[in-house]
Amino acid sequence: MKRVMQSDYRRWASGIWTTALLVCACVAIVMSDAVSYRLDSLTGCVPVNIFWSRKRA
Amino acid sequence: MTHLARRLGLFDAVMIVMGGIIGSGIFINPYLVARQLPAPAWILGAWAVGGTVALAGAFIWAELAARKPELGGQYAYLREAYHPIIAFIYGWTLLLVIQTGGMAAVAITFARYFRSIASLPVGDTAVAVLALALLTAINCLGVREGSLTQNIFMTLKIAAISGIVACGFLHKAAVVSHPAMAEGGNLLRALGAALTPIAFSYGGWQTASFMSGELRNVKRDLTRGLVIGVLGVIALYVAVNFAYLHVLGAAGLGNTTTPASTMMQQVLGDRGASLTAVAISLSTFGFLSQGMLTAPRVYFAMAADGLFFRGLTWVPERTQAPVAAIALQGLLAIVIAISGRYEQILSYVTSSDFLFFGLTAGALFVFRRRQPTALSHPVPGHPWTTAMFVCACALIVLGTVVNYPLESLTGWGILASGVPAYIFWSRKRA
Repeated sequence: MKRVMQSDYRRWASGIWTTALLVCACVAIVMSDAVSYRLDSLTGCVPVNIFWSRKRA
Repeated sequence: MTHLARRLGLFDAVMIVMGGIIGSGIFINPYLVARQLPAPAWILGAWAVGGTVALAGAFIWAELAARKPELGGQYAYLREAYHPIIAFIYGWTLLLVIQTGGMAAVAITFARYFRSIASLPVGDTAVAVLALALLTAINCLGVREGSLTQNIFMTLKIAAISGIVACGFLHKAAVVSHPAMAEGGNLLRALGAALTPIAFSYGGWQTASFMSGELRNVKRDLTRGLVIGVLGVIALYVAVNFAYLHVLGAAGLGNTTTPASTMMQQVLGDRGASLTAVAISLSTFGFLSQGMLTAPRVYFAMAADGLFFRGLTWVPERTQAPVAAIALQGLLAIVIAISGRYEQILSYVTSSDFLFFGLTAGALFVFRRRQPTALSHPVPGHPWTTAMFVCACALIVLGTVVNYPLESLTGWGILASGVPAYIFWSRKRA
């Protein structure tokens, strides 16, 4: 019983940690100002920001 | 008596973890981050990264709690891994400065906001003293009473922050100009500078480990409580920053020193500012309640080890609470609040919390070397995760020493004052 609980914790903790790292990776990609600036120069399009409506300065 | 009654469960542990982190910082600090990082995605990213570092810390403390489910939590980890003197200096600084100074400062913040919503014929200091005295009395009644108070205020705190988030989400988005991005090294430096106030905002979950002696099942409830609590705070912090940015924009957030009030005023007018004052009052009172519940367990553990006033081990049969330790902390916090020196005192030791964070995380390497097979609650990604956390703490301590050398030197002096005190009590014990 104790061993089952411990392996549950391991799976649970690993799952949470992996998810946290994946979220951080996604956030890094979605830090789209850096990414979209590059894309912008390639495509010539106004970058699409999923969070805010913006006007270019 | 050198043991306490085990009366707390998983829900209490989660509430204690969250209550130790959320004070008044989240209503104010986000503007410091926004001043460093003008783009919204970077600001939210920095809060997510800070949260991941805190999560790594929660996993480390969870494994430490599973390995050493002993009275005093972090105090016991430092004692067992290094030497009793390191643990003593931690407890000594906690009582004299970190906890009492922090509580005095938060009590005054509570009093300022509380007086702005309830016109009282007394000053800030009197309200702060009354709040501290009331919480001291409640916690002396027993761990169940102290924990219930903390749970109620933590629930209200979550509701208040969720209300701010909902107001932000329902409001029309700010139309802002595209901010200029810092390039390369500048951006990394800006991110580093932004992560310091974020790290301070996420601190406090370690205090839940102080309750190790009163949780019914430490290995199950504290380990899970730490992780769930920190995850809950990450969700709240990222959501509230999203709301600030949604309403104020990155430039607007950086231009105010009271983001919560400014945002709520923009959404609901003057009523919004009053509601923010209610939210901050609830949050700060809850934070005080958590501090009054947790830290006295460390002084109790020190006394139980024979390294502090023996009288602090007094536990009345009826309440089963370390009444003398709670009263001592309450009294010192009240004295510091009346003296009005808390801000100066706190500036000396802001980095010492992170020094002890780093040392405690390092204890995991020591325990793993001593008992490599006892891996009931392993940290995912150890040793990399643990090393990353230790490095983050070292960078914050180093940054504070470089930026504020005089204050840091005074802080180290306060830590050093624990050495003769330790020698005195250890000789007395012998």
